[in-house]
Amino acid sequence: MTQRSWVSPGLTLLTYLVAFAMFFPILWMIMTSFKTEADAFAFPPQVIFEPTLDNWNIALFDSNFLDHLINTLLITLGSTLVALGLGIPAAYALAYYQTKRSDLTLMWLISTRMLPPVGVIVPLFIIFRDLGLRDSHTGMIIIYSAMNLPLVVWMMRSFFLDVPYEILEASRIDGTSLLQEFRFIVIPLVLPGLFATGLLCMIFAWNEFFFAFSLTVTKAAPVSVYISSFKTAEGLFWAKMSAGATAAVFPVVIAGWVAQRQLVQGLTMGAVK
Amino acid sequence: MRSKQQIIPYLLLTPALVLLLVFNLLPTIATLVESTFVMSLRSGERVFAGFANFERIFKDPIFWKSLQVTVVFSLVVNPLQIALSLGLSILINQRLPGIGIFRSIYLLPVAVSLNVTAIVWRLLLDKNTGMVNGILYQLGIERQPFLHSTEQALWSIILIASWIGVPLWSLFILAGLQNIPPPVLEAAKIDGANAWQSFTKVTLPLLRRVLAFVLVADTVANFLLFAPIILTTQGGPQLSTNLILYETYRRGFLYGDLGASAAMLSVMLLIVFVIVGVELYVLRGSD
Amino acid sequence: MKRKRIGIIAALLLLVALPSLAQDVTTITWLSLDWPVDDVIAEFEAQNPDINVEAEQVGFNDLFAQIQVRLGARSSVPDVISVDVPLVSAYAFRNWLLPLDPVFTGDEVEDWLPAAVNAGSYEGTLYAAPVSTSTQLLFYNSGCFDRAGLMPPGPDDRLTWEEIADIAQQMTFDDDGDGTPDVWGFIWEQMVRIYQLQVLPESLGAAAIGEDGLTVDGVINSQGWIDAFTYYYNMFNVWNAAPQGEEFWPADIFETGNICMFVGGPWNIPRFANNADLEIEWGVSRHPYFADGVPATPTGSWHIGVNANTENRDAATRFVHWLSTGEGAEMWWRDGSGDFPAQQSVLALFATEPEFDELPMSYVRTAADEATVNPRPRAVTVGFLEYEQILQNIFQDIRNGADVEESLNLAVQRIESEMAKYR
Repeated sequence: MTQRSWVSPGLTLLTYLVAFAMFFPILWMIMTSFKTEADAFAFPPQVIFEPTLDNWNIALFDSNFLDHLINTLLITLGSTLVALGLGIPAAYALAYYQTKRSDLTLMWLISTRMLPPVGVIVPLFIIFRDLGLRDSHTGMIIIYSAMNLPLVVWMMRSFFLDVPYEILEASRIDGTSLLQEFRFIVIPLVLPGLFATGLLCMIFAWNEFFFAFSLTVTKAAPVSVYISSFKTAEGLFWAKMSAGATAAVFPVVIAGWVAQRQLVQGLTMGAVK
Repeated sequence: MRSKQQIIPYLLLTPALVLLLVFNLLPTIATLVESTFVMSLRSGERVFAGFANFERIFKDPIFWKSLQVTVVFSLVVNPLQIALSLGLSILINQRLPGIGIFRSIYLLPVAVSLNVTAIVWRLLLDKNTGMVNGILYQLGIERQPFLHSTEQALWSIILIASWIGVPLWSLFILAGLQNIPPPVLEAAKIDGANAWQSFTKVTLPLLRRVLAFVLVADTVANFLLFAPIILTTQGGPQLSTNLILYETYRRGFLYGDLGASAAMLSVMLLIVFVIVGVELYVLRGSD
Repeated sequence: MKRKRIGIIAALLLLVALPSLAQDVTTITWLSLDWPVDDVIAEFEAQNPDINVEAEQVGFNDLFAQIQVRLGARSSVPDVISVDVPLVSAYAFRNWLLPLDPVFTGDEVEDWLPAAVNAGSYEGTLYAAPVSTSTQLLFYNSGCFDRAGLMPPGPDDRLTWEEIADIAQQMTFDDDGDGTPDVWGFIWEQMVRIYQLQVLPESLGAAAIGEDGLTVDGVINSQGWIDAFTYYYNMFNVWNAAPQGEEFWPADIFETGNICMFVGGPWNIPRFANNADLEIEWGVSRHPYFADGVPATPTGSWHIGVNANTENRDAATRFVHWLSTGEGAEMWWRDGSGDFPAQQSVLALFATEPEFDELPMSYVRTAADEATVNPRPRAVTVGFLEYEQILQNIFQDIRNGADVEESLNLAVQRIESEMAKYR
């Protein structure tokens, strides 16, 4: 896993430079979150400024930020669990019960990922209205599950395919039930992949904007919608928006830091067949 | 026993298929069907209109202009992102002190919500108050309008889209790189291959499967890209960044012309499926 | 055991549901901007215990998309909608709004500014009740005038656009020598919106839209528009007296002394007056006009309407009635949006309230007068959303250096293409 590719001083320097360049916009956002609104959009741009915590106070405490954060957490975790809960059995079926039709089913499943959200939003809105799902956690969990399901099926299927068939055969001869086989043999073998899949689902759900913006208003609105509420009739509140955004990024950064190794390891299992 | 065996896969598949059917496929079909209807704006009544919507959009220069922008955008952004992702994945595949932190930094653009990053970029690229122009000026380069000029706006969008897309795709390629057994590369080295040769002759062929996946996924993602457009240029200046999906969104979602919007969407879906089909055909593997 | 538990749950549910059943409270949803609405709603609910108002507050740009999707899908929620007044025709045309004529008495209608009643009506029927109106003034930083050796105008002076151009150039400075000014002469508060820019061609006698309310060819690319937007172009591109680039809210930067003059709304008066840390000296004068044209000042603001598909018609209309007339309207002006009221009885309070006796709050009286002398409502068209948003893109292009005639012709092409569906 950790073999050395090429290491040269030039490449190393480049790595650090690229990392800084990629990080710079985020750094700027963090800096902006500590500026006054006037400093945030100043002529010329302010690199050195008197930091203020006002935006953080407003973004975190004077508003419903925490409610929206809880919405985001609920929706992200809920949709990830649902997507995995529905996607894993489907992937299992597609991996181990292969027929001509299963390939077609897989193609269809994956192709739903190619359908643009814009294309479904108006009919979807009517479905949501009729089912009473508008501006509800359930509705958002359903829609994000549907969004991530193709990814889950695709990735989990390829992990399952990597499980050596002999192991399964041996266990089947021993008479283990399907559930036992799944629980005690297959899942431990694909666990890193499962973890990576779940993490990707969470990232996508955490950041989704279009569905959230179109299908929620206040009760189930996640942080991404809340942040854009700083674009008001009284103008763009760059600094407050940056504070809210930085706060919203924190959980992801921490999760990413903890999980990046497992993420790469999981994907290494052969996610992409 | 046998019949039970046959039922199980269906039982396992059905919940997932139902979910996608109701919340993804049916709405899409409804939209495609909508392309053959004209809706009275006054009463909301719909009347079957055959291909009238298609005839209307085919006569509309704005539709053709946005199709053209989309083609240029796709032709540039996809190869560019694949090449950059490959390069980036090689960089983060190195064993350097603190590489874990760096890998998290690379992931940040993926992790930050799009409506935030779009705003950060608008701040950075502004002509007078933007940091990028501040740096350019210090280097003796004239201030650039970036998102506000017809020549530079599409390139600025490509920059923003790549800042988000490249780290994500490089993650997949990194996984592919780490899957290459070290002995293979060592063998190439012993055979006297230089770095470039071992990259093109050994590494790239072994990455083919991953790259095929990334190419298809990236193509689709870029066809579907429009959030940065809503949040930055809104198709401007002078329609130079008016990607087809954004035009679809504007017509249908904002201006309530569902028929024309659905017709455009049908055309776009057809194009996406053809391109992805061609890509899959060209890259089809023996495995 | 199980049955018992169900019984307990049912009893609990009843307990929760009973009080509300007893009073028969109707809950209505009000889709509005992010104004401070809590006090106003609380007061209304206190006076109307059978109605519960839930505010759904969204950002300025999100509001239009929300209305478009939800009312377009003939959804029954929200019941009450805050409507940007030029969109009344568009919504009424689509039958999204309930006609409100029976809700108001003749006296109540008389009390509204006539222009506001007109703007809230479509084909002679009132669809959205006037709540606020607006006007625009020139705000200036006196320090800039001192520095340039010029005399600032008085509150009742009306500068010409030509004078503005001349003064603005003299008040633009690059103090830190970074190749771009850090003190700018001039800006429009809503720098790319038709709300503020329509009065430029109108001051030169040009119309905003064709007589049929749909045609723009020959109107927005007429000589009046070309001249007006050449002036606008020059301000940013030739005279270099106003900043290009992203849109921003000038008040923040005006307060730091980096903008010398801007044309903006009276909402800035309390803002600057109540800012204890403000270090600049400021004043106002009347809205500018072209020397060989006529004075023309923007107007129009928020109205309030009822969703035609609401299931709570009675409660919704009662709320709309309360908020747009009498006591509710006065309270909305004091505790709500802070915008100019559309009721003449509330507007009259400006003249009597002692709060407005002294400078700088007395500038509000200047604004109240300006609101009645040359108000120019926006174009009346069922396609206003398209018209506005396309022109907004076009103005942003011109501001950033696009050719004026070419841009206006592109606007014609795009707007005509969108208007086709209304013909």
